[in-house]
Amino acid sequence: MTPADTHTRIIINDPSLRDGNHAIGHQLKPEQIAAYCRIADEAGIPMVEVGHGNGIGASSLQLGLSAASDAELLNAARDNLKRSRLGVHVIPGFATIEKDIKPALDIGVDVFRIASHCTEADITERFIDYVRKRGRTAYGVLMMSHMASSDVLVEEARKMEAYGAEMVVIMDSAGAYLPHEVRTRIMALVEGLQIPLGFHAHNNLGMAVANSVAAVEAGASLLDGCARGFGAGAGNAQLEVMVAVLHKLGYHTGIDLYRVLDLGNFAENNLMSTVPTISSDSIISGIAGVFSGFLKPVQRIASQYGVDARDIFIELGRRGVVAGQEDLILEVAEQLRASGGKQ
Amino acid sequence: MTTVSNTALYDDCARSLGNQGAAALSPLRHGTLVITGGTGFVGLWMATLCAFLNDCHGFNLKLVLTARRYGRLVTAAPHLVGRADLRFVSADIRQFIEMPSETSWIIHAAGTPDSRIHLSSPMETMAVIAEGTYRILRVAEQCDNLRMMLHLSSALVYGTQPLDMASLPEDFTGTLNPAAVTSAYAEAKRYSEALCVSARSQSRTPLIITRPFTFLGPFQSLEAPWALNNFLYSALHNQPLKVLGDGRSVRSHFYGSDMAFLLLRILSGGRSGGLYNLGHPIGTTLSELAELVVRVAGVQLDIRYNTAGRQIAASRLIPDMTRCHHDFGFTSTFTLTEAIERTLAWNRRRQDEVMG
Amino acid sequence: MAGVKVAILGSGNIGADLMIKVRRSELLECTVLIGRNLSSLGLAKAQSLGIPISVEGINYIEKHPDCCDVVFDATSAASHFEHAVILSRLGKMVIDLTPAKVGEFYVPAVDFGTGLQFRNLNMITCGGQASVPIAYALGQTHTKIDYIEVISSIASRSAGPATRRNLDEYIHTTEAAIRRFSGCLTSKAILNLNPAIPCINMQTTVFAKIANPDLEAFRNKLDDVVQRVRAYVPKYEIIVGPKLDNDRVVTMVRVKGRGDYLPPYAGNLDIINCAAIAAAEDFAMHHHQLSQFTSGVRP
Repeated sequence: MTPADTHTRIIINDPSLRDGNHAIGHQLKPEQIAAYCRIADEAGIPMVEVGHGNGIGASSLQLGLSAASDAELLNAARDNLKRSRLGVHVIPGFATIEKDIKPALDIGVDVFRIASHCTEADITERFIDYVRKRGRTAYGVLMMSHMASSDVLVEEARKMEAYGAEMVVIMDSAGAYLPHEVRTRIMALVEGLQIPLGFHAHNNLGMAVANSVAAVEAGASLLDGCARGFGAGAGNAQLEVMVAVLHKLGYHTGIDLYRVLDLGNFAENNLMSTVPTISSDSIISGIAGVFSGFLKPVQRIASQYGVDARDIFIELGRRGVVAGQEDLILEVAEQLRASGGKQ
Repeated sequence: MTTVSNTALYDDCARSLGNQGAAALSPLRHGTLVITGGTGFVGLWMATLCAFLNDCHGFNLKLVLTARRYGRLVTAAPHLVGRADLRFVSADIRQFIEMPSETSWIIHAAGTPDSRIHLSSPMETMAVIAEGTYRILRVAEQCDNLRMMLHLSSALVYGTQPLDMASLPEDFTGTLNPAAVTSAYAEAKRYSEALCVSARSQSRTPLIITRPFTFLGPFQSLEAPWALNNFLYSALHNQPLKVLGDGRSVRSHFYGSDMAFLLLRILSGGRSGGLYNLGHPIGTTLSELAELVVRVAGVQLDIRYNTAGRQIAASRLIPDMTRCHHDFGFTSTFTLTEAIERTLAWNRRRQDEVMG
Repeated sequence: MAGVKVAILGSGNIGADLMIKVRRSELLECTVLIGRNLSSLGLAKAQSLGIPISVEGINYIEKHPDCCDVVFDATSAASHFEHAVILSRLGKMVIDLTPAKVGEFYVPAVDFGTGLQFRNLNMITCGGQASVPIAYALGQTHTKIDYIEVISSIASRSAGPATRRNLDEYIHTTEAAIRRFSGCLTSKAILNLNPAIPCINMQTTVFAKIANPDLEAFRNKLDDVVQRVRAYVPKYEIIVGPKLDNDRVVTMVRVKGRGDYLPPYAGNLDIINCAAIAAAEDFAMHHHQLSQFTSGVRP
């Protein structure tokens, strides 16, 4: 990569095998991982992210039990990625260095995306330091980033930079952003940081690809995209669409378009039960600014308690609930039922 | 007393001193020097140079090192342990109550330069600098034999070096934004400079302020993820070197013994009211630095540039050392290559000590 | 007011809050608050209350060994390793609020005297103090528990740099305590920091995977245990369950703080302090055979 083409080069990270797990209750199997990785590798996808929807170490009653262990999923991926790098998402507070980072290092994970809620970057320090000292790559990730102002995001990102993160990725975990909001934030971050930035979109308001484009035009270097948008809630930015659009705009991704279209077909036929759509509940969760991964548990509990899922989302949003607080869904449902529906 | 563990360090001191150095530092003879932050990079180099002056030039300079943890002295600088001319006082700088009445020289070097701590605990960081400096200044008022105090501020008080400035002169007032948490450490250092100037005015404390830039050498912990630390760490652990961006950012690096000698020169020969940058005036790009580390380390290691697409704006942090050169005839005696060689050698010796 | 003499190591928020609680206790007397920094608010507060202070650290206790029988250590794990050795030599009863975990796990509500034979008691974690009573009740009513999971959400404001740097220790310690007090085979602990303003109260959810759960027995036992907890944490309240949801036994508890020195939303910090005080009071009763009971003291 020469300096000349760096301005038009965008790195694509594909978390279909991680975010997609949210859409199917974390039931991806090693065989599916292996097959997808082979095709992704052929297509020239630079980075493939694998694991439970909430990252390694997150399999739990709170967030859903994985069908296969982290080790099984990661080994399946590692064995089938030659050129592509293998990445994981990991949240301190769910995972620990001893239980989760060490085994992942041994398996040969290349990139560790260490994530916190957008205002709590300092919990990532030890993890970033640990990965860095072992010669691997650590990125910092700020989740639910719509819940903080640009200034706060820059502060938190700079902490991650100081800890040794090689990049900071901003997530629109709730699918709440509109393009101009993405632009403002990315511009502030580009201004405030020395390290490059990435953006992770969700499609609750139908804006995922548009937001991703806004991000690169404002200076982001990396985008997350999932095959057919396979991901939490209304899904992520659809990978194949995004690649096509980026190429059309003159950016280089290093990805073969036909092959990534094949990847999309494969994912549709082999990974998901339904192709992601923007359901009514997803629109409300996007408007309410609630973590997309809550969709399935909210729908299940809403129907059990006989309350409207949308009301649950509105209340969760009002309470400022963050990713990982799925247990509160039960509490909110009980309160709604007790008060006879809408509060 | 020269032992195996300090031979290399004493060689460095001798070289930095050169032929004229001991004579230039003669005002320090028979004095008492108190160093706060005694177990940090600056403190340990100062102590080592003073021990050298005592052992090899009969300076009879008494040293008092103060810091929170004695243990760090033992692990980082075993050659200083058990010396009759060195006393260690365990104290939190904010609680410092008094200095020996015979104190003639003070170097205030307390405070951690680890930017991770500055961001995770900015309030504590600022309190240590603000309260610690205030306390030391008040305590210094009681020292009737005080000839000079030297305060270590930071190059970060300049903020970001403007792209059109080749190097930062002392009279540049800087570009800091106080309302950013990333400015916490630098703002506290600015405040510490203002406190020093006030002490000079109100209490007539003889005082010089210095602004340290980037150093390298033995005693430097490789923990904090700065460029050179990362390169050295990677080389020592046989990992690929990682350069953020395209490596065009420019930094200079000042070797420990040269830094120590210059500081003692300023302390013993400078005039109250002085303000001096403390660093190396000639920079190298980060990619040159990475290549140099690999060459000097003698290992086959990849140098990887940040693989993300965009350019990072190349930054510079270089001191203008004209004033030091004019007032003290400052030059550095170690080339960057030699400095890296010696730093790697010291780290490798410590690795061996820890293993074997 | 004569009571068992207590020294407090650490004059930060935790130490200052403990001091106020000790003052209120009929069984304890605070003889010194020991800090490191004369300008600390905790020490200033102590002085305003007429409580002796020191900045000599553990040396103070070494110099004045009669000043106390019980020592609360609210400093840091690193310091506690050093303190534990010295205090053991001096024969003191040590209640450790740091993550050092040198001593025995202690949860007052589920201890019936066995813990006090040890001379170093560790207060586990906030999630541990909140969830162990529930896990204990599960363990008392079921012979085989496969798995217990504890999720705590606390206000971002109540988690300082020390908590944030020690998340892994928090998780491992809480998991160990859950297994120890419930007998379950495996456990998992999760901690969420929530920055919402106004600050959220500490909330802890316990999920259990049990082959044939006996909810009725569990509820009855839990009622007993909760009464015991409320004797030292008045605002410990079960807000959801126990019930079955999606094949899991769910119990949610909310803990509001007393607001002595720490703000009320910091229920997570308060529960540990309340437990520490209860431990010291248990020691006081056990070892000094006081025959007077006042209301609010556990039977």
